[in-house]
Order: sequence, then C-alpha cells, then structure tokens
Amino acid sequence: MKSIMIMLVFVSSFFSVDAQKIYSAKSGNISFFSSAPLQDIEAKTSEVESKLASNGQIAFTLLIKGFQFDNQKMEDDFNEDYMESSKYPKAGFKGNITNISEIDFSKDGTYPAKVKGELTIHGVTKDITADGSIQVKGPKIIARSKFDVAVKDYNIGGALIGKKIASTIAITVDCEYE
Amino acid sequence: MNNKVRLIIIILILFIAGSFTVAYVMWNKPQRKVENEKGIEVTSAQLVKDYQANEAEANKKYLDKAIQVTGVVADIKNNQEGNSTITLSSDDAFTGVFCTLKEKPVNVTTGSTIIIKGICSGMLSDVRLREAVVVNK
Repeated sequence: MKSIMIMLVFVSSFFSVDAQKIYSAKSGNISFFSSAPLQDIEAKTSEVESKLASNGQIAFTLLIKGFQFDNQKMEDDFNEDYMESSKYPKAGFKGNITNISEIDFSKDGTYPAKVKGELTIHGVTKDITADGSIQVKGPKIIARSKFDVAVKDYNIGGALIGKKIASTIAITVDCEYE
Repeated sequence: MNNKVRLIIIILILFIAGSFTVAYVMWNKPQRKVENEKGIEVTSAQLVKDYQANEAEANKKYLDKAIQVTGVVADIKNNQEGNSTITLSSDDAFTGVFCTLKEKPVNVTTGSTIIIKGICSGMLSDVRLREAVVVNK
C-alpha cells in the first residue's frame, strides 16, 4: 500500500512536470523606432527566436544583421558604426512574466503582462522591466510589448546620437508562438 | 586679381556641388539585392557543420555575405508576416538552414533538393538566411 502511494506521488509529480508547456517561435517580429530632430529611423527583423513557458519564463534571441531598413546607408551605418554587428551579432532577453498567475493559457483572451529580466544588446547586459500583453487565441499565443531603451546604457556611442539618432529608442515586440 | 577671385569662386562652387552630389549618391545607395551578388556555394549540411564547429569563425566566413545553399527541403511555412520560409535539413536533425524568402516559392516540395540564395544573418537554433530566393538551375 505504501509503495503504491509512493508510486502515485511519483507519477503525479511527473504529470505536473508535463503540464509545463513550452511555446516556441522561430520567426517573431522585433522592430525599433528612433525619432531625432534630423531624421526618423525605423527597422524591423524576423530573425527572432523565442521561447515562452507556461510558468512565465520567456526568452528572445535575435540577429542584429537581420534588421531591414528602407535605406541601405542607414542599414550600413547601423551595423558598422552603432551596433558593431560583426562583433556582436546577437541581442537577447531572458526573464520572467511576473504576473503569470493572471494569465490563463487555456482560455482565449488578451492578458496584460509584466516582464522582468536581462536585456543584452551590443555586448552589454542590463536588468529591465517592461509591460506587454499575452494573447491566447486557440492554440496560438501572441506576445507583444513596447519599451524604451537608452542607447548609452548599452555603450552605443557616436557623434550623431541626439541629432540623427534618438538617445532613447522604442522597441516593439510582436511574436507568435505555436 | 579679379580673375583670381573668380577662379576661387568657381572652384568653391564646384567643390560644394561635388560634395552635395557625393552625399546624395551615398544617401541613395541602392538597396542590396541578393540576386545581383555571387553567392558562396555550400551545402546546408556543411554550412551547419561550420557553424556548429565554431560560430565565430563561421561568422567571419559567412555573416552578411550572399550564400548559395544546396539542401533538402525539410519544411515550407509562412511566418507571422506572411513571408514564406523554407528550412533545409542538415546531418543534424535538430538544426537546419532557415531561409526567409522574398517571394512565395513555386514548385518547391518537401523532400526535394533545391538551391537557395540568401544573405546570412548568423545562427540561432538554425543558420539563418534572409531576403532569400530559390535559384533555378
């Protein structure tokens, strides 16, 4: 009898591990917008992978070279002068949705989400918090967020910061998971 | 004296006009098109192998270059923006070459061997090619 109880506890613990669901995305969308006195710059990439677990863990990795601009010169300058993307080809975020208990992955709807974690850009890692949302739409999960990043926090320099490049860049995340 | 002043003014005007032209041409640099570039020819298996062996070295060789990859189609999909993506398989079942295409591919089926040319963005869980096109032999 005792052994059966132990077995049951064992088996149920397995099930609870199983209940942890991981959603993944291979081609999410991340874009940024810089508004400075001399020009506005906008670029986006789909070279974005992300994983989201139902316990709230969330991670993104993206390839900087994947950012596409309307203007080739802007794209070249972004890669060479600001992001040094040959040296730092990736950026990423790793963290948690802190209000995960308020999100029901089994029920359709859009839930506000608070995210906290480490953002790595240009080889520099900083703690950040951001607000966003998790939309549950049948089997699909969509994570969205918009947050600001100060370029100097990530050692991104250059004489044109504040003139052609805004000192704070707005980043938009829109990522569909399966 | 008058001639000299005139000459200086003309040189100055030419210089300014020249600078503006250079700036204008630079600013309007045409968008990069992978079709116009000769790609580094490689198989999807080799490309993945190179990245798995040493990512930094592989980036030196492939990152931001036009790459022409031959491989077997493992998966054809649309991403959330509606762009077509093709994954080419490698010798490692967990890693492939993930290509985001500019246009919807025609007559490409899973299991067939095709050639794709694209610009290498680096590696995530797959090696990634962007702005890719299917090359017809």
